[in-house]
Amino acid sequence: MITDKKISFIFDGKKFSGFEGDTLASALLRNGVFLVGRSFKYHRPRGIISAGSEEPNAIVQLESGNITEPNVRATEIDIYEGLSANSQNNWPTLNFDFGSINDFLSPFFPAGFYYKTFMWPPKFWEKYEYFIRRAAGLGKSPTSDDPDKYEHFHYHCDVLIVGGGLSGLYAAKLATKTNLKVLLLEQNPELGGEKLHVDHGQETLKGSVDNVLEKAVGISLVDELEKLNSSNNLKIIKNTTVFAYMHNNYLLACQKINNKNLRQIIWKIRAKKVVLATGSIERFLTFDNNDRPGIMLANSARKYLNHYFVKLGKKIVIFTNNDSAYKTAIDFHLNNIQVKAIIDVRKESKGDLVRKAKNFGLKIFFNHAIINTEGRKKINSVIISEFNKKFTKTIGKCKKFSCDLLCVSGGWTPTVHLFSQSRGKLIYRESDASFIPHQSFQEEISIGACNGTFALDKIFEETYNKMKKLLNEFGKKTEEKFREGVNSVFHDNIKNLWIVPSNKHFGKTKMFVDFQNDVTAKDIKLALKEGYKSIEHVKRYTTTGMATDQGKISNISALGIISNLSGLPMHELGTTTFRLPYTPVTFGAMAGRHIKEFFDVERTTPIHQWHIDNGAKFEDVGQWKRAWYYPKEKEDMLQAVNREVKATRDGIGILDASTLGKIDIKGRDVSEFLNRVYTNAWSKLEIGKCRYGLMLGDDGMVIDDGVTIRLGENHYVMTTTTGNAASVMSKLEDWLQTEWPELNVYLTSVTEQFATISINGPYSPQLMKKLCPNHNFSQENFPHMSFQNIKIDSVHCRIMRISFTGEMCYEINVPSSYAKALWSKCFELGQEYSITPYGTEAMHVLRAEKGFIIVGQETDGSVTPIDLDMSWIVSKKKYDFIGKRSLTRSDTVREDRKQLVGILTKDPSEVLEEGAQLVELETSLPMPMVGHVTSSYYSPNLGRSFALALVKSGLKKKGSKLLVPMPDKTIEVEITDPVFIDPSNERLSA
Amino acid sequence: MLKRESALKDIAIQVHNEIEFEELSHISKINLRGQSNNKDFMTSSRNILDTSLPTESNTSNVTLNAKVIWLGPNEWLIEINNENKFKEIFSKLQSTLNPQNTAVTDLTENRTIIKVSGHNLYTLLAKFLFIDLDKILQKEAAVTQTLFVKVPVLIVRNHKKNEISSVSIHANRSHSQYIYKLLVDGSRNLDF
Repeated sequence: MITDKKISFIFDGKKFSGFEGDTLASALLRNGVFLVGRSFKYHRPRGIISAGSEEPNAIVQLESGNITEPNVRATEIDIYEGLSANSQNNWPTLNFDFGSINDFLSPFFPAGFYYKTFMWPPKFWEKYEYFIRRAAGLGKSPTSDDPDKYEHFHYHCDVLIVGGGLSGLYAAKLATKTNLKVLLLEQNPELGGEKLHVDHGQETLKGSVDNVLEKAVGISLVDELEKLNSSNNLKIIKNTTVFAYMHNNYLLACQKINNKNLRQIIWKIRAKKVVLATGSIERFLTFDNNDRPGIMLANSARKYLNHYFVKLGKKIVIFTNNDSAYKTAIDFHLNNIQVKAIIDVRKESKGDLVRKAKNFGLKIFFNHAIINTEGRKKINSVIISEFNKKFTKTIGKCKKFSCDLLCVSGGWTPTVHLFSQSRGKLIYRESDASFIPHQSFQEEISIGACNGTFALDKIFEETYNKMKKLLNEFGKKTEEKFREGVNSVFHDNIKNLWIVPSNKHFGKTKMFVDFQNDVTAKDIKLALKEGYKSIEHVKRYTTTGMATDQGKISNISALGIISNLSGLPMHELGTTTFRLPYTPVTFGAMAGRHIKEFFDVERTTPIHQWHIDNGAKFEDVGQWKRAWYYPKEKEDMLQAVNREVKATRDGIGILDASTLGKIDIKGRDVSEFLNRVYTNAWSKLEIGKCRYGLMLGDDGMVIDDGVTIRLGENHYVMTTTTGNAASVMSKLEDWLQTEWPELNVYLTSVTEQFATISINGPYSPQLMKKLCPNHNFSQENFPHMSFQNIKIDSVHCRIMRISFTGEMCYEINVPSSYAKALWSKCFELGQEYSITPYGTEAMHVLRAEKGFIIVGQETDGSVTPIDLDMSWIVSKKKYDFIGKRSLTRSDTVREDRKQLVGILTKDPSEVLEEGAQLVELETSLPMPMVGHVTSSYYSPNLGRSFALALVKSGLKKKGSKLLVPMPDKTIEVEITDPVFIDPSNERLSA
Repeated sequence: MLKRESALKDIAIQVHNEIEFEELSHISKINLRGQSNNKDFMTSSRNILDTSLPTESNTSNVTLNAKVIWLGPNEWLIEINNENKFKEIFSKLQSTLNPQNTAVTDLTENRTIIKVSGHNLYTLLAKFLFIDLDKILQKEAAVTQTLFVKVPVLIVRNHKKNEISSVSIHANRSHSQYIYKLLVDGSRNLDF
């Protein structure tokens, strides 16, 4: 509500003042500012057309710096002290815009201009693209971080009502009184909708023409609802636009808060029933030069007058095809603003409003239309003409009226965007050329103007009946009686006129249909002429309805024009798709708090802080933050990794391997279960021993690997790769529950019960001895591939002798809360052996030197164990295991499959790129690829580079040469064995 | 002696905008698996725990020594806030229940419990949870397993009728810092 509190704001660098309750649009109009922007393509002067979210012209850049927001509708910005906004798409100024030369060159920019012009010669495209991209788009994005806060909030309710107009309020009242949980969302700052704020905005009512009872009804409904709002079961949120209606009655709404702590909230709503009461949008009329500043939708002009108390002009003209615009005429007349003429395309109208207008002595020109307007930066006159019976040609002499405001009404379009997003089916209603809801797809009802019901008495009747049925479905009955006695005056007498004929050649007219994208009726005609018939094609070719306003005003006009020109009836033509969002949503709102440190989920090991304290660089592995390498002063990554790799082979390296997945497996049938999920046999694994396993998918391709240990007759613990832990657990449960319910097996994730500290290197036994002085770590007592439960400082640990480096290795599983202390202790005791923490990069080098695979690096979902030269792990005796049958398919036994091999470059300092393709030495174009590099590193132990690769028939090609073509050179390589260090595994027990 | 450190050792108890956060550190937890239609299993468990295993979904039973939480038709989580009692119960469950068709697993370290309390608690949680908290946590001792943003969590209602709202959020230890920081950040704007 407008108050008398003055608010200062800046537009295009100039200071203005408005009142609290003003939108930027109403405040600018109050200050006589009609020119607010330039059109997208032709840079034509543009003014405010509407008073709501449908606004296509008054698109501004709000604020500056890091809080700036482009393409905001001035009609939706509530002004505040110090607000600063700028017009868009002009240079150097809004008043004097060089780009307006495009308007004079417009004959050269028809629909499809880009498609036609920039195709030839093809090689010039890159040049064209540079300029096209610079010219494209409106407004500027902020270039630094947005300091404002945004929230996301989940909300559940029984009934969601979208729209706080009278129909929505009535529905909310009926639902709230049955104690259902009701949420009412209204996009404006006040409830009541058009009926209350446009029809009856003025306290004196002198400007209103409708029944006084309507206002009383509206006010009483708002009062009742505001009182109920404090009850437990009704929540009303204003300034909130529902912009998406998705499956299962899941809707998204954006609330504007605009304070320093919080700018916007995205409401994520799940409602059992949705009531759409989204109203309707007034249409424009398509006539020559219909886009000048000062030309406005009739009802919007009336809203500025009645709600914002802005007198937009002194001499106004009304142009209409229906009765509703007469309200505007009468209201302006009653406010002592001269109504120069009402131009009505109809032959006559016997409606009450027309009769009242006549009684007020207003001059009405029936069977007339505006055929042109004048005034470059603001309208100053209109030219009207009478038409023949078929309304195809002007007859008689044209008349000219001077004016400073032209109010246009082309009828009303139900706002069916959300209904359509919900996948509801629309039906065409011939009488007022409207698409209205026909068949709901979700638990939804549409009421009021958005359902094509405009008269208030009919709205109440419809709302009452539909809500009664809806409440019945909840087992509720409304005790409210039907509200009767409101007889609304309504404009049900409309003449659909999609193009107003002109006395000019059609090709020389500028009849704008889509104001934001500068699409004219001429463009649509050209598209049809060029063979585009489907509305979807015409839309894309001309870009009508594709701007940020989604063609709220223009879509139906575009359809009407296509129908007119093509001869296809509207109902056969159909509509374009209504896509979300209904109104633009900022990236800030969509991201909410999930930026920076909260951008993605993070998992950290119990030793994480130690890694930070010791300068580790981290890499993301799944959600885990893993220590990647630990650079010392001035070391780059390669130097740090080389140092870590060397230290591990020569002394002791220590790795945090806590992220590996661990699954505790118990039950009668655990051995049988493992026999089925792994390729090798498990029944005979001794208690206290470890075994490596490969897991395949149904297709025989490797999906995971890891070491499993046997703790008891019916008890194993499986290790999975870090990235696959959750999916492996899920697959195992899936198989157990759906394929093998007869197996008595229970799986429990114990990934985080234990942290894993991996101690590698020739001196690792010495360190273990220092950690557990009373334990015998001899090869005989504690051999490779066994584990023992050992207490370290009274903490029960499980220590495994397994190795992913090829070195003597002890993997300590320690209860997580002791992990950091144990790690620190290892580090302290290992100093005499130059213990070195190593990260995942060194781990990769160390394992690759030994030819150990990493699932996901050497495999890509198309690699079998045989491809990896690991047929030794595939049991020939077992009756079955997952993937077994697939290993004998003709494709999996092909001899030319890609197989794992080692690769050495001719130049030992050359490190290949992972993913690089391999080709034969002698080949012809097109060059067949024979393989690709899977892992590639520099090894300080080998003193050279090395790589692993998958090569067609690679196992047979060891010793032969291949080429790696790179953009700047070709690298010669030799195929080798994939094990580069200690092929006889002597270091494992050295 | 190795020093024991909980996942959120630095927070202890903190209050942000009238929401109180506390890590319930080092509470012993046992994961129990077995078939609820196995009478021996159900009877033995009841005898050891002094309460029956809840069979109604999303419920928990509380005794003097333990909180028994339903996780699934054949899975329960037992929380014990006394280490000696934990050892006793764990040992009894292992020795009494048939290992062929049950599983008793110590998960003490696996999960971190963050207790969150305050008048606007549900408003805070609704920023991160898509479930209908009013409905799902309507009953006393109700529990739910859901996603906190993208993180799997178990939530247990602590408060009784007319008490200040309070829940315990069980999360993977590795996720606990992330969740805690999100909760603290989320506690800034609660008056809507």
